Amino acid sequence: MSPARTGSAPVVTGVGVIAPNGLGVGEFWPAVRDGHLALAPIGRLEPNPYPVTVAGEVTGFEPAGWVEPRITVQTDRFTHFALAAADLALRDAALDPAAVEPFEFGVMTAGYSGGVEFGQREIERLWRHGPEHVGPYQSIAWFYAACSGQVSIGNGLRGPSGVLVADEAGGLDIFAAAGGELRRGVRAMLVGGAEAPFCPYAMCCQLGLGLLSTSGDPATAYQPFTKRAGGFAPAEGGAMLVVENAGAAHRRGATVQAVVAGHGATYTGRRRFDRSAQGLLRAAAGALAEAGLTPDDVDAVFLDAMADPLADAAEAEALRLLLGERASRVPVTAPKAGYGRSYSAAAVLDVATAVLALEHGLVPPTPGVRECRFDLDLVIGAARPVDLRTVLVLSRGVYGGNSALVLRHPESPISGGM
Amino acid sequence: MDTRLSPDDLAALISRCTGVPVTGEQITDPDRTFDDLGVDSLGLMGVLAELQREHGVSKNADLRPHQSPRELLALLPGRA
Repeated sequence: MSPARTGSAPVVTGVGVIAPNGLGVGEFWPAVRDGHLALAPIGRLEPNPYPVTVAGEVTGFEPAGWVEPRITVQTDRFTHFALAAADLALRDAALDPAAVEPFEFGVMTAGYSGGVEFGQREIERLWRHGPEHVGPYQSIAWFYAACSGQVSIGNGLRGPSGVLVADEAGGLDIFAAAGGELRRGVRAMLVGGAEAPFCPYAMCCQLGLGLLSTSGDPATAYQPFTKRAGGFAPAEGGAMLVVENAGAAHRRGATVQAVVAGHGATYTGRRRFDRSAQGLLRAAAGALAEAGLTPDDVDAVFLDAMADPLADAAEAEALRLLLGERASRVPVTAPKAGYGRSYSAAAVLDVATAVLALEHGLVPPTPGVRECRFDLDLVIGAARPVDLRTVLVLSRGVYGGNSALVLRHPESPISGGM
Repeated sequence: MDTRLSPDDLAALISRCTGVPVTGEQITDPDRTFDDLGVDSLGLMGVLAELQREHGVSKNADLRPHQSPRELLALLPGRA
């Protein structure tokens, strides 16, 4: 770590969430804190011919009021989520994008599914009726970069913008990508991602993974780290965070919610969960080293929680190797067990949750889970009060990416930084 | 195939295709362009495609955002 970077770590100043368990942090945090279970039968697929029936669906969200009608017709549901989350994040940060030099404010999102529902509708028109029936917005709506593009255009952001299509772990990698832009002189970045994968085409893509829970009971469908772990419940939704240059945030008098202190990423191969123990370990160690910290500093861990027996065992092994004898004492949690796993947005929602956990000094529980089959301190039942200074967020992609992000409480001394 | 579109009908079609609220009065205003209304080139392409499919507008018809809805109205069969 270079002394020149001391104190230069980016800071989170705003969080916007559109999730199955709540719209906005005002709804999301109490639901997460109290372990609310938001999994249910998928209403968008009625009748549902697929073996996966339980999911985390964002109910009660209509684009009207969040998205201009002109933009609504040219965008997919995943972009509606991203636009709404960006709006909430900017409000939470009390940051008017017009007050920032346009070239100093960018947006970085993670992508996985893209605008699948919109895309399927147009492709159906193509094969049912012919090419002249395909709407021109198909050219932009399905695209992974649609969220970054629309958030950028809608808010007048002309700074560095992009999308990382890097598996689910890309949801953490975008914070490193944004950190790089901030280091190069940008003042602020909107960082996040959204998913809306509940159309037939997207369901078929997911079923091919062989990792989704086929349980029909919302109360037990997603049981990571238990003997009953039999896959995850998929989810839609997303989050956007305002991440700023620390100096710029300080100068405008922003409330700093958390410091993005370090990131690490590795790749261990598709469906090689046995190797992901080493992959996660090295990603986490790299993230802590970048933050100028050691594993002894970790106060809580937000788990990837694939709910696949091999994958869960590998993640537990990574924590044992990383934390040593502390592994059985450091609180670990998987709040997403309550609302599902939303692919590239899953880790972003975990980052949002970690920021809120730091703010409230509470580690939220793993909803619906009553036991842990590993020697880990999995938080179940009620949220646990902890004097949180440093939290570690882990994410794995179903195709082999392993990433880790270290977040710190804003009042902690910063010795390192991305 | 319905080829008789009133200004109000055309306004409703444009609104449906582009999400931009448009009135019949705006359609007949010779000074108002699609740019003024907030209809971009992709939106206009969708409007033209619909008119070509359903309302007998020539496949060769072309229109750009700096032109007016009145010019689009003139492209409809029986109105030129």
